[in-house]
Amino acid sequence: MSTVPANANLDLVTPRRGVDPRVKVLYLAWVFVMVSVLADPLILSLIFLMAVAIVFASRLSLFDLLKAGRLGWFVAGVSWLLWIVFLRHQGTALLSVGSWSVTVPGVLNGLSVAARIAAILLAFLVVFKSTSTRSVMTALYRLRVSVPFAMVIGITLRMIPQMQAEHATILEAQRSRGVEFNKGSLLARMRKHTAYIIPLVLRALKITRDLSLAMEARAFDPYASRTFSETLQFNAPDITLLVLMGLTMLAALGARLLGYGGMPAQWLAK
Amino acid sequence: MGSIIQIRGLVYSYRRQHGRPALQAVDLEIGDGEFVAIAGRAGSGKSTLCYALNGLIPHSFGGRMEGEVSVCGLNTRQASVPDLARHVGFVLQSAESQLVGLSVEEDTAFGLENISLPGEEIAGRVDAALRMVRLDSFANRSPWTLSGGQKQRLAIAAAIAFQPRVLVLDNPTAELDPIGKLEVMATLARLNRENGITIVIVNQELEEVLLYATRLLLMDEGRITRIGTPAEVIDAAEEVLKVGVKLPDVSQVAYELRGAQRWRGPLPLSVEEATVQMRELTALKAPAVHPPASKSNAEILIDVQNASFSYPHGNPVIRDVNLAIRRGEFVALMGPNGTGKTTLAKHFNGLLVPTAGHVLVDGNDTRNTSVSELARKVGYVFQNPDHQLFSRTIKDEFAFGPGNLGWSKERIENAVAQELEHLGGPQKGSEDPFFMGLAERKLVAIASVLIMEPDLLVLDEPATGADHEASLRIMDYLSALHRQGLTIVIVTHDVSLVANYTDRVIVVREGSVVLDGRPDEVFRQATELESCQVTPPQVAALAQAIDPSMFTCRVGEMLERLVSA
Repeated sequence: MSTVPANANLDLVTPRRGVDPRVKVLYLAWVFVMVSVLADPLILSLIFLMAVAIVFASRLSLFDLLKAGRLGWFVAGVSWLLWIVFLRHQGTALLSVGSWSVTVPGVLNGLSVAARIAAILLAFLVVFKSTSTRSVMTALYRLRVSVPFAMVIGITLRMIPQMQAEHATILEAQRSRGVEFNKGSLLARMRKHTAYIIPLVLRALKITRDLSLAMEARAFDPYASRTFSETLQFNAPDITLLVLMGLTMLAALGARLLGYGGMPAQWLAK
Repeated sequence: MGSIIQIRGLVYSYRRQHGRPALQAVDLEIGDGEFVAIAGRAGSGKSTLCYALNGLIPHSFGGRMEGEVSVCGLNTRQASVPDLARHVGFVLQSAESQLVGLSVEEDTAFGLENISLPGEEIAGRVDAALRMVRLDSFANRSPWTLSGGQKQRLAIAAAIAFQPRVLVLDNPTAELDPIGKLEVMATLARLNRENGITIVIVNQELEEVLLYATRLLLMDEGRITRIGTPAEVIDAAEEVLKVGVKLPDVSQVAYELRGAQRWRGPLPLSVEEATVQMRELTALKAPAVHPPASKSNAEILIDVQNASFSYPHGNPVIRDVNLAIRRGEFVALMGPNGTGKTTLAKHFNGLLVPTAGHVLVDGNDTRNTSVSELARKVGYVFQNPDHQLFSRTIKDEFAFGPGNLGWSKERIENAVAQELEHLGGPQKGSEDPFFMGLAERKLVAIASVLIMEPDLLVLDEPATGADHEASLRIMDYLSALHRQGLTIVIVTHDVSLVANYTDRVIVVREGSVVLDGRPDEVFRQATELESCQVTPPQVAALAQAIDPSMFTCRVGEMLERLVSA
């Protein structure tokens, strides 16, 4: 039996009361729509900064969230870098080293992509770290999202600490057999990683099978109606937030239809 | 007492296994309010029978089912699993696999939400269920922070929140430490006695269930081979042993004495029942005790010097431990869950390094030596072979470790051939470990570490989850390796295995070593052991009750003394 660390994702079960979980879920949808519709790096950065402000308002640790999403931040950073590297022959050059230039379009397009990734990731982290799984599921159910979908999200969240523990145990088991995952050529390292990927996948299947049995034995039927013991109630701040989100989203859509909110042309000009 | 479960001519085969029925012609009737224990070796059909009681068979598993199963008046073929769940609570072996919610209260409410109960009723039932299993003060805790026994009690709470008349439990104590086992069994006994819930429990360890069971049922090859009161079934000891179930120590001793014409009457189930007659046998002087040869002059392999260990931002898990493990020893590390046994064992191969003090492995400080280098000297076998095995054939699995150590191809081939010979011959090499039984997989896991020729083998719970026969097979294998000179350390809760196989026991409590000595010395310290949540083997309690001067914790030694007396 692998042991899940006692402190694993405990914040998932200590919900910060105040905002209705439906508002939080809709905030995620709002961020997604806004970063999809808009392309202006300044506005996208503002949306990201808004998520940072929510982190502080929720009294979450920004450091913990940065740590939790480190792969995402890495992807955002690499995306920015790739735009800079590949978009080097258009627009004004900010800096030139030999034939290679860092251009304004490269920096700004990269910033747009990075800000999109960062805003979505931080919004997800702040919502899921500040809301219990059951609240998320209840919110999805109340928002008429199907029970199977809501359950998939709930179960995925529930399995994160367990799979983290399994992963750690499997790594230790293979290290005990002399594996050094960080040594050797790229091919050799990839081969070594099968030593933990295969057991991890098999364990995930076994755990999922056992969990599905346990859920069935507790009368779970994805297509039957069910109740949620948690009651949700919008209050005045919730409604204010919903109205603000709705208005800003409509404004963003309208602005884009009128030709605003994209990458500013003057920044792209030569 | 009316019957609450009726099974008539049940034959069941899993999907794509029609030629090999898992259950064959099972007929069974269980009365309302009974406490029925089921025992048998792995693969005998115990779990399958449990699945048939709550409708998972046939509804979820599919397969081919003949005969009829009726529970609480519902035909399981016609009733749906959610309908049956209201009447039959179900608890699986692995407590963690059953956790659905991320708080105790949420987990308990999950099933009630599934049957669309109104919020107020859910709250009331959750509260009542948690009180029944004495977890009401944990309602807002994350289940992951609970102990093993508490997690399993939570699974029981989730089941009884449905207010079922029957509770079916598939080996619920197999992965628990002794205190967890006691907690779960006491909870079940209370539910049975005070709430009248019918209990059907699969349990390999008869000592645990015989106190409570009204009937004991033995299974083998998908059939019920014997059913009766515990006293009746245990008295037919040959049949119990034949189906691969371990007799309680006192019954085993009496059974052997009966074979030597020195026991009259039915076999005892408890120390109290055995004591009077066995005292008569010891009226003659018992032979002298011969402690095993001391290894105090042997070379030190592991030297733990004032070692302490804390996880970042955590309390100390290991506190100022001083310990030497010498070549040729067979050591058991014992203690309650979460007390630091495994953490200490992980210091032996450098997976963890002390935050204060030192651990020397054959003279090398683990701070300055990599795990891969230490792997040449210390082999570590994890509790679950699923964490270790990944290759498609045993041969590849064996070759993996030596490959990591940079052995030549020829040396690896020779070592694999030799190891396969020990395991049953070269033909074994092409078998896929994934399709083997637990005992075989454990043996493959052990061999895949042994092939690296370590001086010391550390095994975390080598026999947990395996049935009695498989446990013996694994322990006999280890014992043979020990006789060949291998130093072995096992981390375990199984006092019976410790008493019968090891020559030194180290008991850890709250990160410190509190007892260290020969098994017969350590198991004599009843008060100290109680504070460490370790229950001595039943035979030790028997020896103490008969005559403390002839104390032993080994069934074989006890018999030797009684027979020779």
